[in-house]
Amino acid sequence: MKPPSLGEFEELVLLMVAALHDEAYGVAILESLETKLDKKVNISAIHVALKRMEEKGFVKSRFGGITSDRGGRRKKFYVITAFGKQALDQQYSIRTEIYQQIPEISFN
Amino acid sequence: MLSSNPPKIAQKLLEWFIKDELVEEVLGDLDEKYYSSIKNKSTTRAKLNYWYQVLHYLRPFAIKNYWSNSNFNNMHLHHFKIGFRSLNKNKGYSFLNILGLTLGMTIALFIGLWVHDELSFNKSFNNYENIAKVMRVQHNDGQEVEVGSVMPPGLGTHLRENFSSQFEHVVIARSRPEEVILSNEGDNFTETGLFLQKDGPELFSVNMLSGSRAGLTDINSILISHKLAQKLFDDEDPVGKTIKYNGSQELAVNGVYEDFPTNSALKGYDFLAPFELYIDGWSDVTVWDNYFTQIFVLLPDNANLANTNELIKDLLQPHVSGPGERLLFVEPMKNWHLFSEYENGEKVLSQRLKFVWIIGLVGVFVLALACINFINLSTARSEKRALEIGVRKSVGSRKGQLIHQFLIESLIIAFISFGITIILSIVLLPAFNGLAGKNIQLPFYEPLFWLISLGTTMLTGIIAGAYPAFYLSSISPIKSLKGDYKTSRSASLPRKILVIFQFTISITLICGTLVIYNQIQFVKSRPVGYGKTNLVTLQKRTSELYGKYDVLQAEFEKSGAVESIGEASYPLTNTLGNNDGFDWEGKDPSFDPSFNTVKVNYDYGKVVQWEIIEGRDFSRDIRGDVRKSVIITEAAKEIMGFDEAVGKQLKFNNDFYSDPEITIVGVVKDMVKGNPFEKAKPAIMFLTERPLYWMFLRLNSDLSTAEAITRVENVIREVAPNAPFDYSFVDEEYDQKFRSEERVGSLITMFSILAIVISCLGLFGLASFVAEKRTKEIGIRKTLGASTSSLWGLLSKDFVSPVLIASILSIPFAYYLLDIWLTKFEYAIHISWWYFVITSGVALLVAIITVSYQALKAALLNPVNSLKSE
Repeated sequence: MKPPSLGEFEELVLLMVAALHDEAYGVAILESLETKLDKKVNISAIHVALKRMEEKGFVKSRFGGITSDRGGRRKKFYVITAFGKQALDQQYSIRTEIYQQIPEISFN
Repeated sequence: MLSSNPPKIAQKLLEWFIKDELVEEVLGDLDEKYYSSIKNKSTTRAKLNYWYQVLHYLRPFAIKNYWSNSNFNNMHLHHFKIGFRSLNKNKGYSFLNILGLTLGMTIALFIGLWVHDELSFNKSFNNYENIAKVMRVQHNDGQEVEVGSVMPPGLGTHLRENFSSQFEHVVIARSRPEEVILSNEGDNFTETGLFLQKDGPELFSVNMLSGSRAGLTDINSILISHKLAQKLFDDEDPVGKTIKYNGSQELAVNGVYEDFPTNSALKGYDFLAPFELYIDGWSDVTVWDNYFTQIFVLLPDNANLANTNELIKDLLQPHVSGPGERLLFVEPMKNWHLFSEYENGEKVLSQRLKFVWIIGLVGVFVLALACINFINLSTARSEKRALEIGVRKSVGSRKGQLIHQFLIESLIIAFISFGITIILSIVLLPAFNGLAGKNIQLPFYEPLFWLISLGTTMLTGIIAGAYPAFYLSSISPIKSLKGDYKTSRSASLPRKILVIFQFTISITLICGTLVIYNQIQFVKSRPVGYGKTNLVTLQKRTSELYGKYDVLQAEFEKSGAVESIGEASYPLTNTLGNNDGFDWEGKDPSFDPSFNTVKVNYDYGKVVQWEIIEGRDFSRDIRGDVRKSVIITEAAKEIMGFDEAVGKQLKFNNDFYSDPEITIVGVVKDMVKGNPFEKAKPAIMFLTERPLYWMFLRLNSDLSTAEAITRVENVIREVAPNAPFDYSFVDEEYDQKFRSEERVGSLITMFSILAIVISCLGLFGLASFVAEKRTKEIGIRKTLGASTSSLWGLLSKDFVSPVLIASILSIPFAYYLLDIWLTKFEYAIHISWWYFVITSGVALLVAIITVSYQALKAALLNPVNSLKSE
């Protein structure tokens, strides 16, 4: 079965979830992405991406402990699923494959 | 200093719209981000950003889905389900409620449409905002100030030539619609229409179906309505054809226009013809001393009415002979229908507007009656639902939710009723239009109509449901679950008050019906001073009929159909032709009353059968009568103040009627020619030997009317072959004068019948409820030997007292309203006590019959059945 499609921003968020491993929750993803991309990102955009990928089965979530700077609310941590990893791999391999087809000559 | 916490309102907002499962995560992340950003940014910026982020959650993925799976929605689905179940379970009550509300709503809907129709009068004209009519205020010494719109044509011409910057168009028109005979190839039709100048169709933005608005430039032209075109030409296009006008002249049809709507000032005008045609040969548009026209003007968009009025105010004055002052002003079209009634020169609340108010109020009241039924039945049944409420409350239902539930139940009933109302109104609208004399359509394509009617339905449901909802939701769960929840005596008091209110309204309406019908009957049976029956009026529209009086008289006599004939300058059914300027011995010089002045021939008195109470009739044998003798009516004698009028001299300088010196030779009883609800106008009859326009025929009562008319027609065909035969019956025309009052009567009758029906539906429901509740008590009473009649009395008694109280309450109420209504008539009945006795009796009887059905049913029940159930 072909995995569901993965948008560009979703891919970035998924990569970050995988990279942060077990420490990935909304604000953490936001801040890491902002540093990496060096631009402002909306937290709502991240939530949208996370919810969609959760529906598609790329990530799964669990609630963490209570923290005071969240107004007594729990963090929601996301981890990448095997299916998510597979989608990421596939995406990556397609890109690499195409990338390698670029004839070197054209840049000389 | 700003608090450093995240903005509360933004949090609340987010919690309100976002899906429940997202709240914790999203709010948590937002707060964390917020706290981290206030470390290195200003609080204001962080707050702004917080708001910005919150608003970003307004996207489909995050917003609560009210229609699939929220608590809120489930609760409402549940309420709907329970609502329908309880409707279904209590079919009888539901039926009574829905029937009552449907009747009330149908009436309210019709009344709403009627009121809208009245308020949108004349709005069909494109120039509604800019059309106006010139009016005059007439101050006469010692008399009331009169306001009228009848003008000399000279004024119109003057306005057009000298005031072009004030008026874009000035159109002179005949002051009232005229009846003419129009014929195409021998088919004659008597049609009503308006003579007006050529700019008229443009001013009124007449909607042309073919031809053009500029079709009245030629004197021999005419525009006809679609209806008339169908009559004259069937489906052919009439433009370019000619039709015959009053049996002689040919007129070119230059256009066909869409019939004027019934709620317009030109309603029923089936032709528009040039004003010049009307005055051809006897008058001119520059005449200042003959008042027989009205003048319409089209004001420019930026017109200042006050300035215009100031400019034209005195234009008539130089042309007024004699004392008195006549000032001019313009009345804009939006005032014509409802806001143009004057009393002694002052604008007053018009009769029509009063009527609109009264009918509107009646509509609201009838709807209120239906709501009361709902309230009473719901609260009365509260005991039955007490257990349900107790259970709901103990499993955690909040008061607000219960209120919600009961409101939804009443809304369900309201909307079901509305659905039936729409169907019912489609069926009943033609009948209502007939009754009200309107041509109202249901505006199904108007969004506003749906908005208003659905809004009203909603409001009705809420009003009807509010009291039961609050009442039922406040039932204590402990009491109701223990099983000793009893409605206290005080709980039934509001119910009684509401029943009293219902019956007060109903009884007042019934009383109104009775008084209106008695008033109409009273006036109808009023002596009119002449014989109405078998009297036919004939207009001599063509010259062919003139100069043939003797021939006609002889021929009619020979035919056996006519007993006598006579002539006059005006018909018997209106009071046209009025003059002042009479003088007599002993008259106060400043007193100048106006009299109805009619020229008659020798036979007039005999044919109309006037009743001479003093002196004698005109006589052919006394040559001195012509131009020298007059006969006056009782009312005229009273105004002149003579003890004995015969032989008295009058001075009157009007060559058209008589010599300057005239003698009264007779006094006749008052003749009711105008509005029969008013005092008869004082009249003076002059004798002439010249031919007159109106001929009267007294038909032979031994023949059938149809036979007599056929013979009359044959005579006319013989004597004047080309003259159209145009006749009317005096008694029929007289009856026409009662139409509008009879219409009021039928509307009020309909409302009062419905009011009493709705009230009785409520009473019926309450009675059945009480009978059901007291089944056991009745069973015990029966076993102890109570008779059926005493049980019937016991159960009915409770319902008789509110009706009796209502009877008493309605007396001052009805008296006050009916007294106001009756004061508008000069000839009116007095409200006597027996109207109230009859009405109360009827209401009581109807109430007792309603209640008795249930009371007897309960009283006749076998006590074995009612007692063995426990």
